[in-house]
Amino acid sequence: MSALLFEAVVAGVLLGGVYGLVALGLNIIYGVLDIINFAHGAMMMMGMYLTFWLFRAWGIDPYLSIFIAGPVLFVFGAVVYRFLLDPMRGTALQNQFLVTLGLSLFLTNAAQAMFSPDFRVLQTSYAQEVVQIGPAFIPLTRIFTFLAALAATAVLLFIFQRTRLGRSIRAVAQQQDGAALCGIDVRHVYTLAFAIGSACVGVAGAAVTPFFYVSPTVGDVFNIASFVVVVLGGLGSMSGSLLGGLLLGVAVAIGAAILPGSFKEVLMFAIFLAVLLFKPTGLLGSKA
Amino acid sequence: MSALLSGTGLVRRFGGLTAINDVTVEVREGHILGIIGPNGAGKTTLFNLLSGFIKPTRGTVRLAEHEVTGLRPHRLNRLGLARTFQLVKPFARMSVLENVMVGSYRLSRDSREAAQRAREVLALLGMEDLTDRPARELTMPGMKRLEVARALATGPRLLLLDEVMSGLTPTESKAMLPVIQRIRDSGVTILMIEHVMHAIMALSDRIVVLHHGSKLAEGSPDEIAANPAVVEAYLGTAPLGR
Amino acid sequence: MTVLAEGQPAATGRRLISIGLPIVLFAVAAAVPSFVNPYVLEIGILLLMYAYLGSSWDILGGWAGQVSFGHAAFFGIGAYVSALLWINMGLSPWFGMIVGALIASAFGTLVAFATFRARLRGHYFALAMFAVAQMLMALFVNLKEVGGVTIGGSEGLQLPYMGTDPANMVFDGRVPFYYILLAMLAVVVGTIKLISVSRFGAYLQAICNDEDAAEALGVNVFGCKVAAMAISAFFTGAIGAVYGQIYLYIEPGIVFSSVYSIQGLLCAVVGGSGTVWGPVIGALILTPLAEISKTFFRDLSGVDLMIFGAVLVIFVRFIPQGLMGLVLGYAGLRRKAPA
Repeated sequence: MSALLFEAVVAGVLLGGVYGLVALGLNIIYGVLDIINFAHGAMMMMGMYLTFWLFRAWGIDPYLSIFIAGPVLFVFGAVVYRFLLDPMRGTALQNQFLVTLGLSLFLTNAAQAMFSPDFRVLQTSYAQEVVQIGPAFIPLTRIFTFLAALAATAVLLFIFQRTRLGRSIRAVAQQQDGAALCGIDVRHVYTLAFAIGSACVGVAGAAVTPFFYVSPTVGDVFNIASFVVVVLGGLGSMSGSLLGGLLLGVAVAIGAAILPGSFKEVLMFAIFLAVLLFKPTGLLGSKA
Repeated sequence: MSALLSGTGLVRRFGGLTAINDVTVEVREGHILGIIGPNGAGKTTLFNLLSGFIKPTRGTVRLAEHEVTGLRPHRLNRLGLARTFQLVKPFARMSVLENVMVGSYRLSRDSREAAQRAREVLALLGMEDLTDRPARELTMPGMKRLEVARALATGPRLLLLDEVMSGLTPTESKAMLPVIQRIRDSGVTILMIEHVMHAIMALSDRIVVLHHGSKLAEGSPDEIAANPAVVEAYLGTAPLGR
Repeated sequence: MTVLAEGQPAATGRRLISIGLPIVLFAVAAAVPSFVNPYVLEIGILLLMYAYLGSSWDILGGWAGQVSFGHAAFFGIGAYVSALLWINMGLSPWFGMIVGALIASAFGTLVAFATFRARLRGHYFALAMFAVAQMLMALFVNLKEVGGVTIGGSEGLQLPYMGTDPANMVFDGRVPFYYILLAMLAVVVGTIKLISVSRFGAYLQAICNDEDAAEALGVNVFGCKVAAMAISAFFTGAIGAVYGQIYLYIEPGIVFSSVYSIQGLLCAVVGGSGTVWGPVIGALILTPLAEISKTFFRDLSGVDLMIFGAVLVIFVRFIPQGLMGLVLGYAGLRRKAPA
C-alpha cells in the first residue's frame, strides 16, 4: 500500500469516528421515534458556529466547547421535539419528516443571514502539529477529534446498555404501549431521545471545528454522510452506526485518493442508494 | 357443484414458525364457507394466502379455472376475488362514495357509471344516507360496511370477509346478517372468518375449523357443533352462540 | 335518480364556476405584462415557474402521496438535455424541451421502478429521491466532457445568444417567457384537473390513503405510482429546458439544487397538496412573500429561504391540509362526487 493511500485510510478512519457519532445521534432518534431528522446536519452546523464564536470571543478551546455545545444542542433538541414534533405524533410520519426539512431550511439560511455564506476557519495554536503513524503524517487535531468522538460514543453506549434511563428508552423503542403500561412517561422518553440525538451533533460539531471549515451549509456534508452511515450500518442499530461510520470514512477517503475531482460525492450517494434499494436493513440492522 | 376457490396443501412459515401447516380448503360456487378457530389458529394468515397478500411457502391456490398461486392482490381482484380487512382500512380523506368508486372503477372507467354503480352498492348495504360523508367520520359499523361495499363494488364472484362483525355490538352484528345473505343471494360466493359464532353458524353452508395452523375439522354447521374434537379444542375457550 | 335531479341547478352553478373562474384567472394573468414594470414581471415569471413546479411535483407528491425531495433531478435533466441538443446538434429548444421532458420522464420511470420495487415509502422514498438529485449534481459537476461533447463541469454551460430568435426560444426581454410559462401552467393544471375527475385520479388518492386497501380493490399500485412519477417528471423536465432559455446559462449547482425540489414541495404543501389549484395558490402566496422579505432585509442573503423554512414548519404543524384544504372546509375531501 502506498504511503498516500495509507494516509488516506488513516484519515478516513479518524473522520469515520465523527461520522459514526453523528450517525449514532440520527439513529437514536430514528430508533426511538421513527423520525429521520433531516435537520441533523443543520443542528451540527449550529454546534460548529457556537464553537467558532466561543473561540473567537473568549478564546475557549474547541475541545472544551464540547461540554458547552453538547448541552446547548441537547436543550435545543428537547425544545424542538416538545413544541414541533411531539404535537404531531400520531399523524403521518411524513409530516414530521417535512417539519425537520423546514427546520433545516430555516437554520441553514438563518445562519447565512446572520453570519454570511463565508467559509470560516478556526485556528488553534496546535492546528499544525502532526503525528507520524507508520509512513503517514496525521494532524494531531484529527486524532483528538477521533478520540473525542469515540469517548462520546462509548458514553452513549454505556448509558443505553447500563442505565435505567437507557433501558426505558430502549423499552419505548421496542414497545411504546407496553412501556406506557409499565409506568414509563413515553413523551418524556421521546423528548430525551431527541435531545440526546441532538447533543451528539453538538459534540461532533465542536469536535470537528479545529480542522473543518465552518459555513452555513457545512451541515449538508454531515447530514448526507449520516444518512449513508445509518442505512449502511442499519437503521436502529447502534453498533452499526460506529461500524458504518468507519466504513464510510475509509471508503470516501480511498475514493477521494483514487477518483478524480469530487467523484467521492457520487460514490457516497451511490453507496446510499445501493444500500437503500438492495439491503434496506443495513449490514447489522434488524429493523425493516 | 365445482370449487370456485381452492387452496391445496398450503404451508406458510414465518422464520421457524409454521403459521399454516398443510391446509386444504375449497369454496363451492354459491356457498358461504365459514372459517373458525381460536386466536392464533392461522385464520388471517390463511386469508392472506388466499387473497395474494402473502405467498405460500408450499401449496397452490386456484381461482375458478386459473392457477393463481403467488399472484398480486390486484391481479386476483381482476379475476373476481375481493376481500375486506379485519382492521378496517378506509380511504380516510375521501368520501364514502369515492371510497366505493375506487372499487366500482374496476367495472367501468367512466366516472358517471362508476358513481352510479357505487350508489347501487351503497343502497344494497343500506348506506345511502352516508354517501357524501368523509369516510373517517363513520362509526365502526359504518366502516365495516364500507369495507364490504368497496369490495362488492369491484363486482367479485367471490368475496372474502375478514371478521366483518368483530367489534360490533350484538345488535349491530345482527343487522349485518341479512346484508351478507343478500350478497350471497345476488350470486356472490362468500368465504368468511368470524369470531361471532351465532353469525357463522347461521350463515355458513360449510365450516372449516383451524387449530394451531392445521385443519381440525370440516363440515356443516350441525356437524361442527357436534364434533367432539372441535368442542374440546375450541368451544372450551369460546362458547358457541355467545 | 332523484339525487341527480335535485342536484342539477347547484351542479350547473358549480360547473360554471369551475370552468369560468380559471378562464377569468388566466385572462387576468395574461393581461398582467401590459401593466407592470420589468421588476414585477420578473416576479411574475418566478411565480409562474413555482406554481408550475408545485403542480408538477404534486402529481406524485400530493395525489399519489409519494413525497419527493429530489425533483431537481428532473429539472436539471430537462435543462441539460435541451441545452446540449441545441449547442451540439442545433436542435431548437422547442423540440429540446419535449425531448428533455421525455428523457426526464424515462429517468423518473427508471427511478420509480427501482425505488417502488424495493418498496421504499415515506421518508425512505423522499431520501432516495434526494440522493438521486444530489448524485446527479455531483456527477455533472465532475463531467467536463463526454465523448467530445462539452458538458461544462462545475462551470456549467453558456447557451449561444445571437439576438432574438423565436424559432430557438431566444427573446429580448422577458414578456414572451411569461406567456410561455403561463401556457405551460395552463397545460399542467388542466392535466391535473383531468386526472382529478378520472379513474386514475381516484386510484392515486386511494394509494395515498392506504396502499393495501387499494391493491385489494384491484388497483395496480406499483403501476399507478410509476405512472404518476413519469408524468410528474415529464412536466418538471420540460420547465428545466425553459429555465435554460430564460437565463441562457445553466450550471449543475443551480439546476440540480435542492431549492428546485423544495420550492415545488413548499408550494404544494402551503396551497394544499392533492388539490387542483393548491400549488398555484401556494406560489401566489410564497413568491411575493419571498420578494417582500428580500426587499425588507436587503443585504441579508438567505432570508427568503429562512422564511420558507419557517412557513413549511408552521404549515405542516398547524395546517397540514394546506390553504385549499382549509378553504374547501371539508378538509381533504378533494373532489366533488360526480352526480
